[in-house]
Amino acid sequence: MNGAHEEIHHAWDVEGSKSHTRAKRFAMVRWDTIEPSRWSRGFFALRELGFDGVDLPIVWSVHEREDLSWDFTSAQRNVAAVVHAARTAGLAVRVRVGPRCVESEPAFGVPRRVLEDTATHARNARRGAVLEPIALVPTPAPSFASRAFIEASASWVRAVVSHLATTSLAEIDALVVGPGTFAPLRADALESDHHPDAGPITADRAERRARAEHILVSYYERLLDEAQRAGASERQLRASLIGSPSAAIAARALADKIALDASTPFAASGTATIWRDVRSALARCARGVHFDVGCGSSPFSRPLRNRDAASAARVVLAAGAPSITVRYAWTGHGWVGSLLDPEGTAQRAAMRWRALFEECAAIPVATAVDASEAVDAEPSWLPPIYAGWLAQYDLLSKRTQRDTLASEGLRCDSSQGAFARREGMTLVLLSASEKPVIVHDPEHVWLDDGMVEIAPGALLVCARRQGGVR
Amino acid sequence: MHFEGFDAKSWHRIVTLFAPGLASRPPNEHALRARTPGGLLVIVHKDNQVRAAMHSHRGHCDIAEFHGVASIPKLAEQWEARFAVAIEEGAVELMLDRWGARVDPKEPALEAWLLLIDAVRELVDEKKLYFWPDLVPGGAPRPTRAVIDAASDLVLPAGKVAFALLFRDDATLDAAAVIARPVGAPVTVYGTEKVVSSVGALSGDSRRDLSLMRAWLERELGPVHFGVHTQSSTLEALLRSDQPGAWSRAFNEGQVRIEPTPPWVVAALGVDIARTAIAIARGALGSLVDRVTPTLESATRMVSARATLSGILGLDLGSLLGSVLRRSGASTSSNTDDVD
Repeated sequence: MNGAHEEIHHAWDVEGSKSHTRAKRFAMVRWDTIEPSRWSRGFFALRELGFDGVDLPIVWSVHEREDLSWDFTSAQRNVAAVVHAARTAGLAVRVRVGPRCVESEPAFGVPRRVLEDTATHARNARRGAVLEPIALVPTPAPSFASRAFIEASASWVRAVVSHLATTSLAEIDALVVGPGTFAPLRADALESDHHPDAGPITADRAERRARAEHILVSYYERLLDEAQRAGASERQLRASLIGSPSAAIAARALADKIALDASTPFAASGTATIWRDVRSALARCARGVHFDVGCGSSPFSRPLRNRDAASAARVVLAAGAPSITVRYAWTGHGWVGSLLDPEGTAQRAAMRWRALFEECAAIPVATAVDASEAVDAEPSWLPPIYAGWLAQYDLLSKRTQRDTLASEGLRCDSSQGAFARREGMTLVLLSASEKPVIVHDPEHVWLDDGMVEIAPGALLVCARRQGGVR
Repeated sequence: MHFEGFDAKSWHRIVTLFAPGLASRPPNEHALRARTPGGLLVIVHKDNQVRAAMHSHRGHCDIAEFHGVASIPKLAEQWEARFAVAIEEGAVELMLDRWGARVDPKEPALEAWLLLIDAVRELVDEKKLYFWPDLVPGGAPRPTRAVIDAASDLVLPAGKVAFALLFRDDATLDAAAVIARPVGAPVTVYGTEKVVSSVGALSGDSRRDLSLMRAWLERELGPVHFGVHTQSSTLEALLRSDQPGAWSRAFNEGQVRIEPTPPWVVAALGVDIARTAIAIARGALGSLVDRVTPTLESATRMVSARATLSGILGLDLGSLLGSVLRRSGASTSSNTDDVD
């Protein structure tokens, strides 16, 4: 372990005590789609780009053989080898075990044989399967109440964590379980699941939501319990929410129990939506929260240019995120817009991310977020179909945002022109406009000239002036 | 279907040629988009009351006055939406429930999508779902799996490869795509970066570029069924054109080079020419031609039904795409779309 890595690892260990100020950046790597001889080269390239660590999904369907045994050791599936390669490159390591953890894989990485068993399917009112289109393939959504699916998921988590425990668990900083932050999971698969194991369903929306929350929390608890019994420590374990933290059904119940991984809204949903979701999650998640940001897209979803992906990541960092994963920074196939090619060479667009990381190095992570900033998707007029996606487009509800600009005595020439966050003696200003924004500081507490013009989408980090008394 | 060799920029370019509304945008331009005309208005209603309404550019809409689906065109105009959907409350759940109950997950995905079309059409027939504008007046026959397989075999037979090269006005390569349909393996789409790294720089000289591409593809992937070489601006104009004969004119004038030229392309261009001739004759000869036109149109339909994609599907896909694109507003410019 080299010095640089020790420093990063230390920062990770003491996340709760906030000894570091800069957000940690992880690169998600679909390592099982890349030739193992390229891993090392790519990891060093990621470090050069400014990443502190890698986020390695371990995909259930990739590691399960036809005879239901597990393959964690053959060349392109060698989990210990890839973790070791990352550590050798001086990178911290997060691992995601799902059961659903990648959107570029059929059924999000759940083996076909599991979803061919109709006992695992979420059921609609006509007892048919609830279907989710995944990479243009209508795929049965699993029922998180189904004993068959719970047992199959638990068996996978037990197998992968047991293997890690005998090989490389000590080298892993975080181990994430759960159905995947990205999943366009139909919320009605939870709220209106007619699976026999889900119990009776009522007409009352609030009761249905409480029932869904109970089912999902029980599912998470079972997976976390399996992981712990297989050797994972409480410090390492995290749970991934399904979709946006403000709309995810189990978010509130899990926030006090365990550190969470959450998605961030799509770039096109706007600065205000992204900022509000991040601030809300920070205010609510007592045990810590890690955010996924997009980089490129699946060929079956809306394209995302790196310029726009990096702009969305800037908002997430400016809002105070303590750590982010850029998904998918490196992958062999099935994704458009990775930062490295399959050989491990940085693409032109990767420089945009390096510039962003340099720009954001002065942004402090959030230490204390006012509880009033936590918002929930209000009970909605909409049926709960794809509620997570609607929330990501800010189409579920209208919510107000506490105005830090006003509380700091700052004025903006347009009410939606800029966002501000104060962290001790530091102020982060972020432009939310497509035109330059002028922020006035009449009391000269933060700005020498009493005003500043911020370029469209740009951010400004400033320290309180000596003598500034506000 | 596999995708290889695209970066975010080149993929974005290809997608927005056909779907400009899916263009990637930075978060700080959200407010700008809200002020841009266009987009989709979705209204959920029951008993002539709006339960909810949202606009794809503007989010929630407060709609006080609603007199059933007859008021949708006016509301779309009021909210500057180019498309609108009215959904009776509970209809989406009903549709998805019906779909889920009918699909056999062990059947190919195509079968499931056809069943979804059935479920959508049922709701339209039951007047629980209403689209504005009606881009397929009178509806279209629902294709069967056999029809879609026949259409696929016509456009790109198994074992063959097709490609398209699009150039900017300054003759630099704007986008490239290769579609390979290997026998017994998934369709693979190769993108601009793969083409450039394999073939080298392309010049915009159609004779040279087509020859280079064919040599590479026949060496690496298989026989080429057809290749297209044109400027992005020409393709965008043609996709949006509602003029009969625009494609055949562009082909004859060399603005679009298609080599090799498979029979279905020849037939489609022939039908296009025949339609142009009918339109011109009708304009020049007035009522005199009305006696001849039914026979000409019938002959055109026969050729079309046997040898063109539209004929097999019973739906003019090009015309439908053109209608959507004309309503969708401006395309993204290849010259300003140079951001990674």
